[in-house]
Parts: sequence; structure tokens; C-alpha cells
Amino acid sequence: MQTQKDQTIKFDDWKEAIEYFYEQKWTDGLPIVPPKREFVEEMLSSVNRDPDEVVAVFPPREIKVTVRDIAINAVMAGCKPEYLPVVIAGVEAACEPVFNLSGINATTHVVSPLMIVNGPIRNKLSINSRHNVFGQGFRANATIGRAFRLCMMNLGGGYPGETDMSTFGHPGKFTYCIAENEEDSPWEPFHVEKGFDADQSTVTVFGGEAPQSVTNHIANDPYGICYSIAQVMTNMGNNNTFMSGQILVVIGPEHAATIAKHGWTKDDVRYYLYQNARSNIDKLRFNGRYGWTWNNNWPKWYDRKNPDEMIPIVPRPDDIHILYAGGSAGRFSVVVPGWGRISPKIVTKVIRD
Amino acid sequence: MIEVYKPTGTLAMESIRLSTRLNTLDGKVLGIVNNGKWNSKDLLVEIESILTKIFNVSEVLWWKKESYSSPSPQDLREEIAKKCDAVLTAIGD
Repeated sequence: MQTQKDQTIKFDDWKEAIEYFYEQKWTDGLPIVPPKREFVEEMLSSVNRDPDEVVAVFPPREIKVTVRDIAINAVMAGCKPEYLPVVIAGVEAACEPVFNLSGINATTHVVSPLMIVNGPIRNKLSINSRHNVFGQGFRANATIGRAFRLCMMNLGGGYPGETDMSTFGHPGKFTYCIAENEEDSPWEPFHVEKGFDADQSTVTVFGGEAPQSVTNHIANDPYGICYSIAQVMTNMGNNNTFMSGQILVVIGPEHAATIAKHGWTKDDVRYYLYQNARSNIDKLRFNGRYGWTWNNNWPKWYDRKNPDEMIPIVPRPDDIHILYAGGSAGRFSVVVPGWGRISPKIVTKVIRD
Repeated sequence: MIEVYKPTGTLAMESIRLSTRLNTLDGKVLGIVNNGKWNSKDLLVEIESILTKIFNVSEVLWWKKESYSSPSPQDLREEIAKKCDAVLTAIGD
């Protein structure tokens, strides 16, 4: 059997290599950087790990992926060598069985793993957490997320229409990587909340739909802003509505300043949202038009016979994750709905060299 | 000339054979795996009813997957393979 070290191809030039990678469907639709030996060796020099070390078993192909395999896709994505530890940590996190990457890679739903970076590495690598945080223009965000997606395709085997059966996909399937703005946040960082030290750098993966805007230029108190957020969380078309699971809320700086000014903590926001991001049970069953269309996985204590019952968007307050990010101007926040209970939990890994 | 790596890793391959096909369910143990999706149980109950009318099935054993969007756990698959001659499962979207 050929080892990875032997699996190389020779081309006359970059153009020929780029076109060949397109023909093999080894790209996301954008041209890649040909993973030349010397580029991959340079990428590998950024980590203190054996290139043949198996990092994870990547579904749905169930392939054992090595540090070198990830480095190859990171070169293709345009990563700098110092980005590789973040990509590796993202792969480690996403391949934990509780995240159910197998399902996320194959589902008909519109979901993509969102990588959330915390800790000192954000500044070292200039991972954007401010203006246009979910958008284009920042090499680290663009290429780290892209490297992860290329791994999902080329290593995991998720090819659109073949194994990746997403009905629509979404732009986050090109790249989906953000940092939290810890410096300006009035609250403790996301990873510290989850039990890590502030000076640890971490990647968290969350199976997310595309970000949905929470536009609120009216409220000058936490109640109005959080009411808007709750309304967007309970959009009947998102997957949390019928599949429970976990959901992400990213509060923008202008909204956060108002909320914090009134003394609200992240937990105050979380509990308000848990209390108010609810849908009437009869609305969820289309007023009986299609019979008793229940979510079989709802807790026993939801009163199915009470037509006034209000169903929380997620089962517990702790299923609402809250970040601080975005530009300093603009009264917006963002909700990123999740895939549902079938990806039961986010996973956080420490980034190591 | 440039030399580049393939990005697809190294997949360990193993040849396996399909089980011998049954030509009857008479005297056989039928396993039914409900994947938990809406209507899967209704569909499987109906098919069980039809099959047990047509064939003299010796026993029907039911299982339910914990998550319809994850593969069945290895130990569940081994248990089913040990106890059953045939397996029926449902359902897609």
C-alpha cells in the first residue's frame, strides 16, 4: 500500500496542477494553492508533532487523518504555517463522536461547522472578531475555515450531491471561522465560561446554519434587544424549532453596551432568552392540520395537551451559547441556529503546537 | 516541473462479502431497526404486519436507534447480526 509520503503527482506548472485538482473535485470551487512538497514541509515545521501522527478518524469516510493530511489541505486553502495548529484543533474537536460530524457532513440540512477561536492566538494570528467578522477580507478567518472544509471534502469524503446531501448548503461551507472579541467584551470570554483558562487558546466547533440578523435600532434597554433576539431564535424555519439542540447568539458591541450598562451578565441574557424564545405548541403543530406532529424527543414535562403551552427553542438555558463579536458601529446582533439534538453538543479543544 | 501531494489521505481498504441472500423468511428471525424519524415506526409496523402474514417468521425483534443521523453503534450492529437472519430498517427524509 502506498503511504502518504508516496502519494504525489508531478505537473508541468501551477496552472496544470490547479486544473487537475478541479477535475478531481478536490476544491471548493475556488482555485487552490498546489500543495507542493516544500510548502507542506514548511507548514509542518510550525507544529511539534510527528507528521504521521493520527489526529482523528474523519467521517463519513472513517479515514484516519494525520497531521500531514491536514497540512496538505491547509496549504491548499492558503493558510500560513502558523495557522495549522488551529486547523488541527478544529479537526480534533469536530471528529469527537458527540459532535456527529458524520451527520453534519452528509445531512440534507443547511449546516456547516462554525469554528470559534478564543485566547491569545487570536491576536497572534490576527483572526478577526470585529467588523465583518462573518465576512470576507481576513486571511486567517478565510483560510483556516477553508482548510477545515477542504478536510471535510477531501479527507472526510463530503462531496456535494454524492455524500454531502445538503439541499441548499450555505456560504459558511466555503469558510466559517470567527474569533470572539474578548478585549472589548463586558463579559467573560466564551472559553473561560466553559472552564478553560483565559490564557489558553481554544477552538470550539458548533454545527450552525447561516447567521441571521437581529436588527434593533429602537431599544435602549436589555429587554427590547433581547426580545428581538428571542424572536429571531424562534424563527419557525430553523432546525432548532423541531429538533431542539443548541443555539448560538452573537451580540454586537452596540447591543452589548446597552445590555451591560443595565448590569446584565451573560447569564441574565441567557435566562431571559430561555424564558422568552418560545413558540406556542399549537402553532408548532400547524393547528392540527397534519395531525399530532410532535417532536418525539421533547421532554415529558412539555404539556402536549395544553393548547397554550409555550415550547422553549432549546431544552435548557445552557444550550444557549453567547459570544461578543462584530463591528463597533451598528445596532445588530446575530443568531446562528444549530442543527438540533442530533449534534448534541459543541466541542472545545485546546490549540497546541 | 512541480510535485504536489494528493489531499485525500490514505484509506485502509478491506474486502468484504455480502451475506448470502435469504430466499424465504419462514423460520427466520427478523430484526427491525427504527431509526427514530417521524413515521418510521408506523411504516415498519405496517411492513412487519405484511411480512408476518406472508411468511412464517419465527420471531421479530425490535430496536430503536438513539439518533437517526448517526450510524448505529458498533455493539448494536453486532447484537443484531448475532440474533437475526434478516434486518429491516427505515426511514429517510
